[in-house]
Amino acid sequence: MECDRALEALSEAIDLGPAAVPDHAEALAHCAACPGCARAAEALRRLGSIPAPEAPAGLVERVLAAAEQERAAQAPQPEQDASPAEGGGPTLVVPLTVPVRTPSRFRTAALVMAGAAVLFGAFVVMRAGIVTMTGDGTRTATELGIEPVGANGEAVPPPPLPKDFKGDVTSGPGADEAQSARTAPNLIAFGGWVYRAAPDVRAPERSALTTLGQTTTDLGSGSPGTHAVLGLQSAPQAIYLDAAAGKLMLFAIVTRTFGGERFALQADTSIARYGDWALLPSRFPAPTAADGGPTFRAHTKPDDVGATVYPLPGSDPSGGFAIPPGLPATDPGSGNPNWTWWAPAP
Amino acid sequence: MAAGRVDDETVQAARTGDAAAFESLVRATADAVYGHAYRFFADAGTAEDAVQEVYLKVFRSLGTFDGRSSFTTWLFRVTRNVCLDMLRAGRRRPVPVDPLNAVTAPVGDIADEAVASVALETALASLPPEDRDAFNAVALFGLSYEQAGDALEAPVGTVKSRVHRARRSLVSLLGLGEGGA
Repeated sequence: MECDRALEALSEAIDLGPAAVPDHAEALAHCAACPGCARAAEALRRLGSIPAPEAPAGLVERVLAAAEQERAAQAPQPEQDASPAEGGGPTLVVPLTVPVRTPSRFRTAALVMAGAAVLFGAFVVMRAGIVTMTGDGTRTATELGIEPVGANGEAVPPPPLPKDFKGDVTSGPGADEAQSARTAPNLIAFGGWVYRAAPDVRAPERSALTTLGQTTTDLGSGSPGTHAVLGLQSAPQAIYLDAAAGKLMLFAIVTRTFGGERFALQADTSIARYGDWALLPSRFPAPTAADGGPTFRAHTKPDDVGATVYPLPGSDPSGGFAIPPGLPATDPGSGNPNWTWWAPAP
Repeated sequence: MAAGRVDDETVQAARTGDAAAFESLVRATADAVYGHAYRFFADAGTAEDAVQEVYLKVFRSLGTFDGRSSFTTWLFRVTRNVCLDMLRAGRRRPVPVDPLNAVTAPVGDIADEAVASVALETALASLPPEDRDAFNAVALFGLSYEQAGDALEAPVGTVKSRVHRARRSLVSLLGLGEGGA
């Protein structure tokens, strides 16, 4: 056997195992008779004993945390039942203030709510002409006899509709507001962005996260408190809230897309209670006209779910745009009675 | 050390969104991915960035992984592409290594594991990229020559030669001993 083939056979044996190399025995015999190849064989053995690099401590945890944030960012928006009532009567809206925790729990809560809604619907039909629904046409979960579930599984009262909600809007972009306004999903504000409670995930090691700051929220308890916000500086699309008893709760940034680009909902004030909606940032004067004027001007091209966007007059929507109230149930801002501002997502 | 064994059930579970299965995949393969990135960039921080990017890509694309190749073959391909993409994007250049500087651990010192490790990585960084890729595919990811050939789009014989050439170069660069006629 040639020296080159002998060493090649030894190299193959390292990769495949000696049994998979037909001339391995011959190569060993060659090495026994060839001092140069014997030294090379020993060198190959030593080479194989040198440890390969290992991922640094904490890297896997950071990877998993980033993946969970990605998972949260991809999570679907909570469903909201906006089915209109039959016969042109007032819209019965069941506000979904139940945070999506685990699939099984969510299914259970959804079944309870669906059952309660059916029973309540039957009750309303039976008492037609006796019970008159109020102008905003909405009912909270409590009014429906449904107990929303808080951050730790406890029953919590749903918050009232925003104080600035006007139920008498009858024209313009907010014409459907009276039919669609409802309590918000579980939102918080942090760093100028609005985040929504995401499905429960296994939280990463705290050591993999950085404390980014703090925010105020009641987490559905009715008593707002200050909570630390943790996350990755490089992935602000999702954050973890340090909830009670050291539990980390995941929140995903609220986004919509325009021209294939993601835009995130902004807020310059805290959202202290679950069920409160984001307001238009204070740097924008509230529109006084239904068409968004004079603050905003409707753009000719709608966003990717068909909503009209309202950039600043003379500006392009690529830098951000306002969205009016009165959005369909499929819209990420559905139910919000306020104008909102969406900026390019971080 | 080659990537840990990844069974089809774990891959399938991870594809359907099982977070624990995805974690198993990451834990079983993170050393190999990091090792390749570290040898590519010769910089720990950049290698860590690459690892994060690799697994985010895996997370996003796992649903489209069709199973025609093994998961580790696919992972190696993703890892290699991420490193090349980062290089093309100018985010980091591989640190050029003079092969003459790679001879840092003579035979007598090889017992010192840490020194030997550093010497090996330095020597690996000085290898031609095609040899290093073939060596990493087989030695780090545990791919067969056929799988490595598939990932590198090279004939099996070529892969075998590149791996062997890489080993002989390393032996020579590390002063572990010269062999053969």
